[in-house]
Amino acid sequence: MKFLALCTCERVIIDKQGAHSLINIMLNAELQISPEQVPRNAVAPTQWFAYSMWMPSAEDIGQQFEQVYQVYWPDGEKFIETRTAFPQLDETVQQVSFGFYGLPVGQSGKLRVVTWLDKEGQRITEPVETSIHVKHLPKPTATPTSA
Amino acid sequence: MRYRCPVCFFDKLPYPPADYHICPCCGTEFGNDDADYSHEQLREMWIAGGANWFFGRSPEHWNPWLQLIQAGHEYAVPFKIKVGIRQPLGAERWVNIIRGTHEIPRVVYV
Repeated sequence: MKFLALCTCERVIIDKQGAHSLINIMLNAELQISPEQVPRNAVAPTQWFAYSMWMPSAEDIGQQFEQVYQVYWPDGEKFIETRTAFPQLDETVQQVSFGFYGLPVGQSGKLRVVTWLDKEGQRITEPVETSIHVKHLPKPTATPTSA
Repeated sequence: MRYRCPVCFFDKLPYPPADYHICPCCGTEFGNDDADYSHEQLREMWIAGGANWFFGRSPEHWNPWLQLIQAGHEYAVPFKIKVGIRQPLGAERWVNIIRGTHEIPRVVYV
């Protein structure tokens, strides 16, 4: 399997023909922090997706693959690791959209999303990655109005 | 067989949440603590104390907020966060996620 693409987005719509539509590519996430500071492990209850494309070779057809996802906090600690399995039924490009519920936002910096393919428990592709830059913004203060 | 804690929603309890078993995540002793307080009250107390792991080492990559969110109880996450998904090249679209305890989650597109 040859890696073609990886990106993160807010939504993926998959139609009846299996075509994927990506909504709002996520490169930056900005937060306005409440006066009570959020903890460093804070997770926002929002859904987001990692979309990837893989080009099969002739020997990949009929094989079962497992895609591994890792998400790392800006400080390098792992936030989550998860997997999804898919069979490669034919020679068409494989599109995989994986939904995460919970966006780690407690730390300002680069949120790394790493993925690769396993087959029979063995890694068969190099890890590839993308990132979301999380930025903390001060919450705007209310300006006093004159009477 | 694994059981879910009705207070913090840790879903790998080795015993049912009863008979004085203690949740290693939130520390609730079932039959004792929940005789005096409701599960919701105990959850609020656990969160107010920082939602820390109670006993021993937490599972690898354990996150209390993700645990609440994935259990469908994101309303219990106490901090209010407004996340903007900013695109380069000037295109900008905001997703406001504002909630407080006991509020129904809502997403507002501006």
